[in-house]
Amino acid sequence: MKRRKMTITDFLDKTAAVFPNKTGLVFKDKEYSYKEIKSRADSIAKAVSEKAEKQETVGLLMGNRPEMIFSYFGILKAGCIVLLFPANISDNNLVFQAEKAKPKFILCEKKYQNKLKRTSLLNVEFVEDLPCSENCSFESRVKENDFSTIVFTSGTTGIPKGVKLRHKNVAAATNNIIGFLRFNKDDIDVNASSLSHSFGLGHIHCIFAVSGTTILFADTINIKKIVQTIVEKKATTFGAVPAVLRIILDNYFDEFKQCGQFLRFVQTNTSSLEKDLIEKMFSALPNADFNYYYGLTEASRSTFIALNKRLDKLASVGQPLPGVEIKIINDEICIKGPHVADEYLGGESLKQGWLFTGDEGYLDKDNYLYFKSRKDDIINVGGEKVWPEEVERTIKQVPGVKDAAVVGVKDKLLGQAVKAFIVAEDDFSPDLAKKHCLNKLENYKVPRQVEIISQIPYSNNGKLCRDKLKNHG
Amino acid sequence: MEDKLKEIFLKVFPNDEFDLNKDRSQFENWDSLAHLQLTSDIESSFNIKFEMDDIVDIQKPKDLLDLIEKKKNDNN
Repeated sequence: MKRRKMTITDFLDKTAAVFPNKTGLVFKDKEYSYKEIKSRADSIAKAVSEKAEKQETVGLLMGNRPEMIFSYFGILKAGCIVLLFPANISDNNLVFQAEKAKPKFILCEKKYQNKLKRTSLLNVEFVEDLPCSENCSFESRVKENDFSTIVFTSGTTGIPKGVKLRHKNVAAATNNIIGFLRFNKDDIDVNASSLSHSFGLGHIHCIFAVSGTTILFADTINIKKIVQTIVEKKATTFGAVPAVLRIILDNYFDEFKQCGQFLRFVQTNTSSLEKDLIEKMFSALPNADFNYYYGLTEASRSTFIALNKRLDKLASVGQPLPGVEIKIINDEICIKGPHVADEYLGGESLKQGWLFTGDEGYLDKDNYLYFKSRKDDIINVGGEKVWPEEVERTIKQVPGVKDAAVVGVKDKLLGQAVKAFIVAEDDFSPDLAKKHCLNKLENYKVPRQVEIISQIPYSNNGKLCRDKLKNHG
Repeated sequence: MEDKLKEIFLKVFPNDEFDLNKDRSQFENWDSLAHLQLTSDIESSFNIKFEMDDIVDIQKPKDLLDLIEKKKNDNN
C-alpha cells in the first residue's frame, strides 16, 4: 500500500477500510480488529462532536489501555485538538496545562476522579460513561493543516510551554519513521511505553498506518512477561527506553536472546546510551537492528541510526531523515522540516522555520549528528525529562530553605536520578524538602538524594555553576 | 510491618489511599518509575533485597507485604 496518509485519522480509517478484520490491537489477551477499533473511536468521535466544536481542545488523561487509543482517535476524528496529559502528571502541572490550553473538557478514566476533584477541574467526561458501540460510523472532519495535538514541554526556564502539532507534522514524522524502520503489515509491535509520550504513541501511528498489530502493555513493570510475550507472539519490533533495556539485559539476558528469532529491530530513544549497553544488545540480538534516534516534542524523530550497521558511528544519534534539515548555529542543533511544529500555544512561532533545540551538538563530514549536551542541564530519569529549575523552584518554597540547586547524578538503574543541594537554616530536615516535592511534583522529579551544603556555587555574573555540584563530594 | 509499609507507600503515593488488595492499575500514579522507587525504598527501610522476579510480579500492596515477610523470614 502506498503511504500517502496525511492526517493521523487516515492511519486508522484507511487500514480499517482495507483490512477490517485484521487484529490491530491486543491488550491482556483481548484482541481488537481494525473494524472494532474504528467503530469504538467513531462512537467517541460522535460523543465528542456533540460537546466540542472543530479545532476546540479536549484534554486526554489516560494510562495505557485500549480506551486511550479509541479516545485519542475519537477526539481527532471529531476535528478537535488532543491536549495530551502525561498519565503521571502532578496536580500542579495538570492545573497549569489546563489553564493555559483551556480544554472544552477533559476525557479521562475514573481512576483519576480524585485527582480532578482535588484540582477543581470540573469539565470532565469519564470514558467509562461514554457510549461504546461496535457499529458506529463517523466521518472524519480533519484536514492535514488542522492542529492535532498539544503537548507541553519545558523550555530553558523550566516553565512548560504547549507545542501545537498539526496533522501534517505527525504524518510527515510517521512516514519518515516507517521509511527508515521499514514498518510493514506483517509487523507485530510490543508496545509498553507510555502512550501519553510521543515514543509510545509514535509506534501506534506507525503500526496503524501500515496495518500491523500492536500488543499493548499497561506499563513496563512486568518486564519478564513482556519478554515472554515477544517470543510467544513472535513479535517483530520492540521499543523501550534505555533504562528498560538495561533491566532486560541485566536480568533476562537468556530469555531476551530467544526474542532474536523474531525481532527485526529494537528501538530506543534519546538518552545517554552507554557502550556496555550497546555491546550487550549486539550480543543478545546479533541479527536484529538496534535503532537509535534523536527527536523532540516539536520535531519527533529527526535523525535515525541503526547502530549495528554503523559501528564506526556508535556515538552518533544518526543522520537526518528525508526532508529534515539540520544545521548547527553557535553549537546549537537547529532543525527544519515538514515534521516540525511551527507554533506554540500563545502564538510564539519558529524563527524562519528553524527550531532552535537548546541542545548542543555537531555534524561530521558524513552528516551524522552528535549530541553533546543540553544547554539547560536537563536530567533524564529513566526516559522522563526533568528540568532542574522546576524542582529548584519547588524546593525554595519550603520554609527554612535559603537556596537550592538540582543536578542529575548517575543512577545504575534509571540512568540518572535527581539530587538536590540545599542551603538551609540550622535545624532543617531534608525530609521536609522531599515531602513538599512529593506533594507538588511528579514522582520521578522528587530528589532521591538531598545534601545540605553551606553555599551554592555561582559564577561572577551570578550564573549557577551546576558542573561544580555534579562533581561535588 | 503493615504500618511501616503503609508509611513508605504513602510517601511514594501521597494522593492515594493505602488499600492492600487494590490492583496497582487502579492507583493514580503507580507506573514503572514509581514501582522501582517504591521497591527500592522498601529494600532500604526493611534492610532486605528483592530479586527482579519478585519485583516484576507485584500486582497489589498485599504482594509487597507477603514479600517483605518472606524476605524477613529468609534472613532469620
